[in-house]
Amino acid sequence: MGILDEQFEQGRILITGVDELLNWARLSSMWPLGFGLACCAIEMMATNASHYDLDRFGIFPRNSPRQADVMIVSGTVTFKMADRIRRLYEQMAEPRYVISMGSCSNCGGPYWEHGYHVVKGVDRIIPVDVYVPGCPPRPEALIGGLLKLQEKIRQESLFLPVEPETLRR
Amino acid sequence: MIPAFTFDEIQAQLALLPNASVLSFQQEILQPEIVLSPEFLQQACAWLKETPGAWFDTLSCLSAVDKINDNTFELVLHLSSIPYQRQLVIKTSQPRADCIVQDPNNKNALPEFPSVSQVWAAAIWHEREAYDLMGFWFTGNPDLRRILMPEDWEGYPLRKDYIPADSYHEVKIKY
Repeated sequence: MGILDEQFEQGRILITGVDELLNWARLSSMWPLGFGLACCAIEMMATNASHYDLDRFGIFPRNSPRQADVMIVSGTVTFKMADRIRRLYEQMAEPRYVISMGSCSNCGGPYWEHGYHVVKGVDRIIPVDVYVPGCPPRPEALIGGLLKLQEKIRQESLFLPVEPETLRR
Repeated sequence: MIPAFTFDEIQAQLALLPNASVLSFQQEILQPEIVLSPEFLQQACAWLKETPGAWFDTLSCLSAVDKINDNTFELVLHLSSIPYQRQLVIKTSQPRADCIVQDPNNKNALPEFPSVSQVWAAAIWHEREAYDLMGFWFTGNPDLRRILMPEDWEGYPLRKDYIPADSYHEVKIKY
């Protein structure tokens, strides 16, 4: 981000690559889909609120999947919810990213053995970009995950073939 | 307000109702309990709620128990009387072998209990939960369908002999 700001000051002319510019625009406005599933959602809401202020990263929740770039899966994914999550993910416009927040969403968490109703990891239904460990993760951890996602977006290129989305079944 | 019946009086009055069928009565334990036969449940509950002196006006809890070692399904009602500030437990059970009601949504045979939703409306959701997770059938419940699990879920997950399926909507269930 800093590179661009400095160059704007020198005669208002900017020379950069298309990839860098697009990636900078994308990673500076990652709008998450505003929905929460369980206790992790409380931490996610705290991260959005004034104390941790995600807005300073250009991140604030959108209420429609059509307008969202990132899906933060914050909490236990039950089989009943899994169908809805898959549908919401499919409604999001590309490029779209998924952050799996917390142990439940990463691998089933405490429900891994006896949770007949829990999907053992949201990556069984949608592809995941960043996993944030914790039960629940603190807001700092979620911000760390979002920064990791920014790094991932920074490495993207329009001109290279994209790895197809894969699922772990 | 008329004085509260003692539990002995409640027992004596219940026994006077037509078709009364009280199987046992205990009051030396933490919460007094009455064991009834299922056919008498609805009538006894209506009496316990409406009668001054009893006035068990609140259904605190409706629980389904799978007593697999006794081969029975047990229904436990925790009643509270707000005017008299006391509790009462009602129990009734059906043998596992007597699962005779056909679930309209699948092929399972279920144990039948009378619904108490006509007495306490709060029982409607409690009974839906007992149906959803334990597979109890409540005759007289106006809206008996699954409340927590997906509509097309198979089986009743909190039964002791429940075996989870391999997958649901093509997603593996086991870790």
